[in-house]
Amino acid sequence: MTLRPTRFELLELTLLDLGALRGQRSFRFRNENGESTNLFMIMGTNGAGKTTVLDAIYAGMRLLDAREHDFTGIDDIDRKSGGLQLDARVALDDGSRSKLYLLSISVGRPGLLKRWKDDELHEAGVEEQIVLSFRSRISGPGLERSAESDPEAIAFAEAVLERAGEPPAALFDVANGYPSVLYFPSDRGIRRPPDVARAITRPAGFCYRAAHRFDADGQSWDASIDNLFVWFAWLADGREEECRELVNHLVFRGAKRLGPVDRPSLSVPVEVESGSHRIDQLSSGERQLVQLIVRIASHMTGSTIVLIDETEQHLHLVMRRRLINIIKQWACEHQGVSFVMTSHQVDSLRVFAPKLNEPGLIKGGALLKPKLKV
Amino acid sequence: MSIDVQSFDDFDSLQQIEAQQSNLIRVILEGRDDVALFADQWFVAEQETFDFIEAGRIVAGSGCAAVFNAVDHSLNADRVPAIGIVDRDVLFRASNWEVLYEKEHERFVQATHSEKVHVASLWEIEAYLLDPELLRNVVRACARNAPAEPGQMDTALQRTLGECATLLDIAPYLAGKHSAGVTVPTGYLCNLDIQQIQAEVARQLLTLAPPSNEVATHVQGLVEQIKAGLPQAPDEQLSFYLRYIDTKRLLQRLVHTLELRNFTKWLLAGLQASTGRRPYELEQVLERAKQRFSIH
Repeated sequence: MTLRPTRFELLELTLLDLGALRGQRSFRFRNENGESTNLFMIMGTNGAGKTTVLDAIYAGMRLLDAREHDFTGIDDIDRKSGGLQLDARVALDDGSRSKLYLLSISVGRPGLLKRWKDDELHEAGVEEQIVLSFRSRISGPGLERSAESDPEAIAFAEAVLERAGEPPAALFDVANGYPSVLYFPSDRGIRRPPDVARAITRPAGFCYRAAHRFDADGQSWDASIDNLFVWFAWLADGREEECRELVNHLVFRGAKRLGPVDRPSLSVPVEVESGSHRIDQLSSGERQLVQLIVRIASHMTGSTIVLIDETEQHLHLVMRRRLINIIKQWACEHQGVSFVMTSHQVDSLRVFAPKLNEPGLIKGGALLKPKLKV
Repeated sequence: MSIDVQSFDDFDSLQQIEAQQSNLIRVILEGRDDVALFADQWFVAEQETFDFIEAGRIVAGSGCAAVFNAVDHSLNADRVPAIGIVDRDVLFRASNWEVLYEKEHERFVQATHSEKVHVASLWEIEAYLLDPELLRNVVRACARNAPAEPGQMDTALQRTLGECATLLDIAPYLAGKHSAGVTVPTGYLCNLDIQQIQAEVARQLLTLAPPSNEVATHVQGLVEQIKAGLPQAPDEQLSFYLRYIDTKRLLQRLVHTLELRNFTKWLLAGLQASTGRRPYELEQVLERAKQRFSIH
């Protein structure tokens, strides 16, 4: 059976005993009409489990990158004390017609956490639930895709594996409906890459994968933002200019400017009034904004979930508001792209405006906090 | 620590989400000035636990009635832990003369006890700024003919207590007028000396018709009991008087009596801030709220 995914929308996440979130907890990423949210904000106190939710989505999606895994990356699951289930509406095309399914990716204890009822499936606009489950390996430590998974789910997973490794065809590659998650954890940013290794090199991870994680770019030359720009410049397909224009327009807005790649030094100069400096010499807030914009534009597909932890870290009020506006704009402009972000800032919540209906945006959110006696 | 997961859909408004996400206990006060004293002076560090907020920002209206409504709204609609603090003069407005002029503090505390709203033992929040030790500094800072004479400063407390006694004397008249639906302006008889005031008030009392004159007589009896219980030490006398007399009237009279250029609560606030003092009673109210809403 060959099935090609053309659409993938996260609808629900169910967790069992993960981190601070004890018991079974569910997060709905859809509105009352069954439409999936394209903006979802998680707020709450420190240590309440906001990052756990993002980690769980990333871990669930990362399972699609291989048939077997040494670990999920979530301690409670790897110690066999917790579990997760990620439910998504997927459109699978068999070459002649496309059909909508409710795909449940399940891992950990005790297996499937939620079997969807008929009315819920109907509300989600799908006919049936198909399960892709990962279990402990019989032959040793680690995990493997369960043969008991539904055939359609396995066919979907195989299609994802088959596509893995293909370089993105363009910025904002929405023509590709394959699912992907882009995870920006709180320790993201841009570092100075090692000078000795500079060369025109295929960027590490610059390919389709179900799950990308962007910590601090630049720990190695091939994984650096500079190298990505150099690579785009070498391809000469317009992506380098387009990326720079995005950064200059969205982030710098005339205050400074990202210049063309300096070919002798293989670096991207930031042009300022007094001269120019390296990209890793931007402020920490600017570095993370540049990373977010360049990485999302470069790696996204038409079914991308962008996870951003501590969304506005290191950012001044103006930049915080600007970032939320950029996210809203992209969610609106690029159908199939959704954002799940965590925040502590009331100010960001106000710009997010959870109770305001805005064209093209379907918003949701959750508040995580210790129970208080009221 | 048990974690609550709530969908934004469970909230009616952005304000509810904001209030819930802060995970702070709301301390609802009558007005903006009270909030400034709590948040900017007395309990700056406690803002990691409490959100000091004016009642009018939660519900329509202002004053003590709004505080009661805002606490109910917070607890029941917003599901945000909250307490309120109102001035003792809420009892004046409610014509609750027995409790307002209760001479025993413990009995007052019992009569006004509520888990939700604390009734301050002093007439109003700004009364907590009037430390006896600060009066010398007030004269030093604001004497009309600077520099102030040492004698002026030394007698500041004594002269203040004299004004307090006068204001307590006119309490029956103020109660009677309130009962008649008349508000006596804060500056009433401000420029008269004690004898003149007593004569004028005695004359005015005779003009009150029933039942206002009965209220005045009743309060007169309560005031006599209060006077009989006046502490010996001048320092203690001031805080005792401040339970029963209108602080705004007192501050206005002190401008004349202490021969000051001006005298505002913000001047007092500045002087008190430099001593690092804060009201123990209100500190205890916050401590009890912390215990009551403790994380479980």
